[in-house]
Amino acid sequence: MTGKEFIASEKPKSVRTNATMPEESADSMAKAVIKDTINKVLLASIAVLAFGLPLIVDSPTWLHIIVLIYFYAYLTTSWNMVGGFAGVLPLGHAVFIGIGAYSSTILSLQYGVSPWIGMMIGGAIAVVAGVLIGLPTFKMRGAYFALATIAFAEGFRVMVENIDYLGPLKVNGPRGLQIPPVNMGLANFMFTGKEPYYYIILLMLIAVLTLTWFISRSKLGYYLNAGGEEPEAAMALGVNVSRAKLVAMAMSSFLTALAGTFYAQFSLFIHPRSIISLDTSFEIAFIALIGGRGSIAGPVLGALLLRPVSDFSRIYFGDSLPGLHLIIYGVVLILVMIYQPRGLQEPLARVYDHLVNKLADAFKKRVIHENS
Amino acid sequence: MIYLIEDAINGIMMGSIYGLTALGLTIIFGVLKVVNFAHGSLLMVGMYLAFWTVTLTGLHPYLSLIFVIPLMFLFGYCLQDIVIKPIFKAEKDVREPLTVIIVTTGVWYILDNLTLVLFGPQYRSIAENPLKGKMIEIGEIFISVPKLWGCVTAVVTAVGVYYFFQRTRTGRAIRATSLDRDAASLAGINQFKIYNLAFGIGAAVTGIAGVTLIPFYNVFPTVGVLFDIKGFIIVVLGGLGSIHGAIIGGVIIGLIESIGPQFMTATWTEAIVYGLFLLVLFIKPSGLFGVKYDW
Repeated sequence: MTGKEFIASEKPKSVRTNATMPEESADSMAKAVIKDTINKVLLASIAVLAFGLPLIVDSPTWLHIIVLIYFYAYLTTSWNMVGGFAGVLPLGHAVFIGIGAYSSTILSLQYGVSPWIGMMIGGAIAVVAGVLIGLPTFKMRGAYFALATIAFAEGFRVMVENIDYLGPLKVNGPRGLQIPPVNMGLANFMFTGKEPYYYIILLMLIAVLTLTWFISRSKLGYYLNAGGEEPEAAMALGVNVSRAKLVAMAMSSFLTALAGTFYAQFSLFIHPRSIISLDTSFEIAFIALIGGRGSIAGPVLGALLLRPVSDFSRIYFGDSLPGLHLIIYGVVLILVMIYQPRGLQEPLARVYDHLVNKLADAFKKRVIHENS
Repeated sequence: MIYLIEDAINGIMMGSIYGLTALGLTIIFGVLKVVNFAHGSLLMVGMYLAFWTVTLTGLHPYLSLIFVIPLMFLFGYCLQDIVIKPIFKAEKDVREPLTVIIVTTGVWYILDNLTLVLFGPQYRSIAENPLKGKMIEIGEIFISVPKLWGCVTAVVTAVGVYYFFQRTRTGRAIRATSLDRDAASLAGINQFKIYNLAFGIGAAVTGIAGVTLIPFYNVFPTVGVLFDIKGFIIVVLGGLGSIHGAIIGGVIIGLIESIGPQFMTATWTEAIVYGLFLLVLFIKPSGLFGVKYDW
């Protein structure tokens, strides 16, 4: 929900351009100001709620679920830079989660490097991997690109499962790596309660949303959009589409790798099958597609709607109806694709816009009424 | 040396069965230009259909084809008509609509997990199995009978499909649509009916593959995923849309999987298969026998 305002906040701008007309200017200016205020108040209250939530929620299970919602919102927003703005369908982002998780974990276990530094190193490795994957694959069309990214992720998983030692580095193959819970504290990215993790992932989410917002307004954002919609036309206009895509891929893989480190420190156990899994790659894409790929609010909305479905159906129907949440995912995905191909953020943004408009009108009437 | 020959024969037989599992995928792609991510699930449905037919009626596994082929054809036909067609109509101008891929992914998730809910996660295999564990001995070489049956079925099916496409009126209409949708429509071919047919044929062929698998393979809800990724690799290797390409691609993968473990740990062969797949994608995305214009 944090992102809905970004879309809505585009409106006042257009109203302001209308304001050049003399008769209506004062009127629409007032309305724009009121709408802007409503947006800001809502954004502020969401921020207050988000930062105050751990004070209200004291059940660790709930907090865990919320942390995973933010985690997936973060992952999907990072994915969205390539999958949304660049208009391709990467289905192997788990490879970057794996790179991030393994880099920081191996470094901290064997060399005592703080996971925070390991996080950055993992991000740097992921950038290299992302560019190496992107260079050949961005030349491919649609389905081939999706298949190639799957092959990269699965191939990487198979390799991790087969390597016990990579030179001096202990990868531990299919058994995975366990992080012993000693030396708790911020420097070691390890905490006893869930609250610190909550705030870390919240800040990461806010950072990545802000970054996406800037990108969507930057030259890069427009290049990506143009390249995704009409690559030939964009290239004819002198847009270096493949370079824009590579830059997006580099950023996306860097950010995804950071999430990998976060997950490793959050669960204190990494395992190739669970961390580099095809299911995670697909879930990220599903969340983006259902929420609305290529929009800022979409990934957050998707994670907010879908993650609880998966967590609660696992808690309540895990024994009697295993896989129920995946059936729901599938049905929702198909329905959304048929009836709302731009994702659920679109109708919701429209409803929100409508409500704000009504509210602004009501306010304006009252103000005029009081003045007269 | 004798082991190597035995492995090679085994690899060719298993590989042609892989090819058969991928054949439906390539048929559907050839016509609709859509990579059907639900393909593994179709195979899984086919295997369950065959399994229940054999278990409930006690027929010979291969006689279950009488039920499996028409049911799977109907299933594929309806799936395309009800779920996939609306999106095709919405995205008419796109040559290779990504949305359809996404929807087939949704179908995959629904089918796999619905099966999980209905039949549970346990591995099942047919109890009264006349082919079980049978071997033919030629000199020192042992050949598994159920795999031999599968291999023969794969070749017969591929040849049958090929002749259907080449010689019959419907087959020609399907090929015309796959070459150029709009031109085919102008010639009076109902594009969407052809899509339904192609999807139905693809599903029926996948059902045949399911029947060949059950005499020596377990059935479980996620069995399709194993063949899903392998199927993608095989059809890209052989060339998406090419019928003989699928069988030959399957044999190549089968040979790598069976001979590879002679020289390295079995799990590494999987990595080699992925590597080969990526190599083909980079160097010759149209595959060994594919048409060049689509990638």
